[in-house]
Amino acid sequence: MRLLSWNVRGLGGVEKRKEVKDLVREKKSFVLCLQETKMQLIDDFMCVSIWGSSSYGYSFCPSVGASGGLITVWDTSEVDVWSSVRGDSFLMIHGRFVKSNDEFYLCNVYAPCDQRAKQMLWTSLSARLHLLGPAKVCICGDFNSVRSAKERRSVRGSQVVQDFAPFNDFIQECALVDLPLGGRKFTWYKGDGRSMSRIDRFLF
Amino acid sequence: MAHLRGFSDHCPILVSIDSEDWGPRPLRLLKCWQDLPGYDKFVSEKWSFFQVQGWGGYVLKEKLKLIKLALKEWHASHTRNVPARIDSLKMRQAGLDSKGEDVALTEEELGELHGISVDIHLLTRLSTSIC
Repeated sequence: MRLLSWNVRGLGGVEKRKEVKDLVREKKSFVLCLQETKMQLIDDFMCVSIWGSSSYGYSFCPSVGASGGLITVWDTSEVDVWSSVRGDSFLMIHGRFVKSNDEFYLCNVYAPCDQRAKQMLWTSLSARLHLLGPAKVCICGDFNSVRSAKERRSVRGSQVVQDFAPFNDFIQECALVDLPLGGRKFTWYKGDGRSMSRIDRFLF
Repeated sequence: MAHLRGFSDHCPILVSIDSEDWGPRPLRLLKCWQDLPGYDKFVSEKWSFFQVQGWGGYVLKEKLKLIKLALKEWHASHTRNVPARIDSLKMRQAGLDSKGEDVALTEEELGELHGISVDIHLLTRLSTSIC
C-alpha cells in the first residue's frame, strides 16, 4: 500500500502537472492526495495529465477563488472507492484495497491558517471519526500546524505550548498514530533558508 | 518519507507499507508457551518493567530485544528435564491408579490424579513442540 500526499501550490502549469505525474509513476502510488490545486474545476483531461494513462478514479473539492482546492486520485486496479464526502477543508473517500480487501477511509486535508477555523476543522473531523468507530482511517495533507517547537524553525522566535495544544488534542482524542518523517526534518520551506516546518503528515 | 519538493514550497510525502515484507522476525515464539501457567503474566510484567527512553519505534525495538532474552531464559527454565518430569508424573499416576484398584481414593487424591493427567498432557505437548 502506497499513499502520496503533496501540497502542490497550484496545478495550473503544464510542468507542474508533469512533475506530479512523474512522481506518481516513480513511487507507484495507489492514491494521490493533492492540496492547494487552486483549480475550480477538475476534469478527465486534468486527471490524465497528473496521473497518466493507467486506470483511475478521482474526487475533488474546488478552490475558493484562487486558493485551496483538493483532489484525490486513485488507481482503480488497487482501490475501490464507494463514496466521497466533501468538507470545507477536507475530502474523504471511503473504499477498500482490492488485494487485501481492507476497508478504509482516507481523508485529504488542507487546514486553514486561521486558528479559529482550524479548531472548527479539528472539531468536525473528530466528530466524523467518532461516528466511524473502529474503521481504518488515514488523514493526510497539509495541517498548517505543528506538534512541538522542534517541528518549526522560524525567524520569529519560539512559540508557546498553546499553539500546539489544539492539534495535539485532536490527534489524541481521535487516537491517531503520527508516523515519524523520514528523509528530512521538515516538509515546508519558505525559501529564505530560515523558515521551515513539518506541517504535512500522515495520521492513522 | 519526504521527497524532493521541486517547484512547490512543500515536499511530497509518501507512506509505503509492504505487506509481504516486514523484515526479519524480531523474536521467535512457541505456540505451546501460552499453555504454560504464568506465561501471560510473565510477558506482561516483563514488558511493563522494561524502561527504555526514546521515540516510540525505538522503544518498541529495544523492548522486543529485551523480551527476547527474557523469554529465552524463561523457556530454558520451563523446559529443563521435561522427559524426567513426565516420567515422575507417570509414576505417581501409576501409584494412585493401583491404590484405586484396592481402596476408594479420597477427594484429595482424586484431585491430584486429575491434575497429574492435565500436567502430563501439557508437558507431553511441550516436549513434542520443542523437540
